[in-house]
Amino acid sequence: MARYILRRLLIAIPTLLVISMVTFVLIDLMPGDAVDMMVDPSGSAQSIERRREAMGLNDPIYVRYFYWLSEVVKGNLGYSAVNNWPVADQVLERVVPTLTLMGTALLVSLALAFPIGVVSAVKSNSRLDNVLTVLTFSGISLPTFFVGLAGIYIFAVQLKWVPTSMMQTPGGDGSFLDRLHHLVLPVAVLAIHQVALYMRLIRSSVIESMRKDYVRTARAKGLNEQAVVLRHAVRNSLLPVVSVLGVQLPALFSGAVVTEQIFAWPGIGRLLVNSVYGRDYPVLMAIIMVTAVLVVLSNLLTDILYAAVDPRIHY
Amino acid sequence: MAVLSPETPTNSLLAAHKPKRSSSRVWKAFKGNKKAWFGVVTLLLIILAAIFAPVLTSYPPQLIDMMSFQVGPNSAHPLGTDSVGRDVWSRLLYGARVSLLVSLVAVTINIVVGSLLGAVAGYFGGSVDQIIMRISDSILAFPLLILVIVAVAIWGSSLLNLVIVIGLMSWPSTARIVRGQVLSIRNEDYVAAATTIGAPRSRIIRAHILPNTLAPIIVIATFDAASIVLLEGSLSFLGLGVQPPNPSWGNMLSDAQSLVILESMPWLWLPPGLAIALTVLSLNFLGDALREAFDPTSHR
Repeated sequence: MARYILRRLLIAIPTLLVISMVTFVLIDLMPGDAVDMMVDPSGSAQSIERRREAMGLNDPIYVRYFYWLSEVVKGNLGYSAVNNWPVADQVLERVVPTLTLMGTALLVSLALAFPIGVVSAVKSNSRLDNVLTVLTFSGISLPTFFVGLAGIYIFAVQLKWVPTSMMQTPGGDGSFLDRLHHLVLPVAVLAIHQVALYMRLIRSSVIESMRKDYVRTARAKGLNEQAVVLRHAVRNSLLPVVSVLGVQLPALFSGAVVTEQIFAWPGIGRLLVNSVYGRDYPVLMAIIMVTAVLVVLSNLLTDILYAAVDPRIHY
Repeated sequence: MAVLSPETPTNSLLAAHKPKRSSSRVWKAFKGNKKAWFGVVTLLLIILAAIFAPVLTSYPPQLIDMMSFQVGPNSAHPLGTDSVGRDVWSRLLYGARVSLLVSLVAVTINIVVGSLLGAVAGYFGGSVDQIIMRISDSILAFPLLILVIVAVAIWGSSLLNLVIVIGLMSWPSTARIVRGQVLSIRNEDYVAAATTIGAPRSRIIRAHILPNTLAPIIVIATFDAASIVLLEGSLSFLGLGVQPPNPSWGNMLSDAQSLVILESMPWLWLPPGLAIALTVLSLNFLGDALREAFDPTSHR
C-alpha cells in the first residue's frame, strides 16, 4: 500500500510539471500585465518600461519559467504583483478555509444523501420516490449564487438566524462556536447541489444492484428485507458511488468559488477571482498549481477509498 | 410489391424500418411523462419570450432612464428598474436571448468536438484512443469553472470567446460517453456481420455506429445545455462572463451582492434567479425523460 502511494506521488510530478508549463505559457499570453494595472497611464513610457525591466518581465519566457520553477522548489511561490506579499503565505492562508468549507459540505451531503438515496431506491416509483426525485432535480437545477442570495435573504436578513457573511465575527474572539455559526449557511448552500447529485447516484446504483442475482439469492435463502438491502444491495452499490465521488470533487470546487464570493469567505476561490481582476499573475499561477495538487491528491484518495470498499482490489 | 433497385440492399430497408418502430416506442415512453411535459412547455415559453422580446416590452434592454433608478415594480416598469435605471423586465427577456444563445452554441461545439473525438477514439483505439483520452482526463480533472475563468481571463470575455471557451472545455464528458457507446457497438453481431459481407468502413460508421450513438448524444446535449446555462450564470455573476451593459441572467444577479439591494430590492435578483432555475430544471427534466424513453430496459 505504502509503495503504491509512493509510486502514485512520483507519477504526479511529471503531470504537475506539464500543467505548470502549460499554465505558464497561457498566462504569458494574457493581455497586459500587473504593471499596466498599477502604473499611472499618464506616466512616461520610459518609467513604465523601467518598472517592467526591474520586475524581470522582459526576459524570455523559458528564463522566467525556470526561474519560477527553481524558486518553487525552494518553497517560494513568488510575490504578488499587486501588493508584493509572498504568494505562498497568501495562498496557504486561503487553503484551510476552502478545505473546511468543501470538506464539511461533502460530509454533510453524503450523510444526507445516503439514507435518502437508499429509501428512494427501495421504494422506487412510489409516491415518496417521485417527490424526492422532483426535489433532487430542483436541487441540481438551482444555481449556487441564487440559492446563496436567497439563503442570506431568508436566514440572515429576515430571520437573523445566521450571519450574512465572513468566516468569523470581525473583531470577535473567533471561538469554535462563532466559526460554526458562520459555517452553517455557506455549507448548506454548497451542500444542496451535492446532496441532490449524490442522492441520484446512490438511488440508481442501489436500484441497479437490487436487480442482481446475489440479491435474489439473499432473498431466496430467506433473509429479511432489511438485511437484503443493507448488507447485500447497498454494500455492493458503494463502488460506483466512490468512483463518481472522485469525478465530482472538481465540481464541488467550482461551487466553492461561487459560494466564497457570495459569503466573503476568505478562501482560494475568492482569491482566484480577485487575482483575475487585478491581473495578479503570480497569485493566479500559484492558485492553479495548488488546485492541480489538490486534484492529484483527491484522485489518489479516491483510489485508496476504492480499494477499501472493493475487497477484490489489492495494491 | 416494391421493386428493389440494385442500390437498395435489403438490409438498408430493414434498417429504415427499424427506427420507425423504435421511435414510436420512444414516443410512447415520453408521452406519459409529466416531468417531460413540464420541461417542454416551460422551455417553449422561455424560448418564445426570448424570440418575441421586442413585442413583449417597449424598452430597449440597455436604455438608461436617469429619472427612475432602483424603482420597484409599477405600471411603467412591470419588474421595476435596476441601479442605473434600466427596465428589469426588458433585461430579463433580452437576457434570455443571451443565456440561451450562449448555451446553444457552446453545446453545439461541445457535441461536435466531443462526439467526433469520442467516436474516433472508440473506433480506432490504440494510441489515438490513448492520446484523446489522456487529454480528456486532464481537462476533466480540473474544476470546469476555474478552467473557464482562467481561459476567459486570457482571451477576454466577449460573447464569441465565451461560447468557444465553454464549448472547448466541456467536450471531454461527451467524448467519454460516445467512446463507450462506440466501443460496445463495435463488438455487436450486426457490425461483425456487416464487416463479413465486406461493407466498407465508412458505411459501417455511417449506417451502424452513428445512428446508435444518436440517442445518448441527444441526452448528453440536453443535460449539458442545462449545466452550461448554470456555468454562464455563475461566470456572469462573478463579473467574468457576459459584460454589462449586455444583459444576461447571471450579471443581473451580480448587483444583489450588495446587502442593501438584496434586502430591499428583491425585484432586481428574484426574477433572473428564478429564470435560470426554471430553464435549468426544464432541461434536466427533459434530459431525464429522454434518457428513460431511449432506454429499452426501463419499462414503467
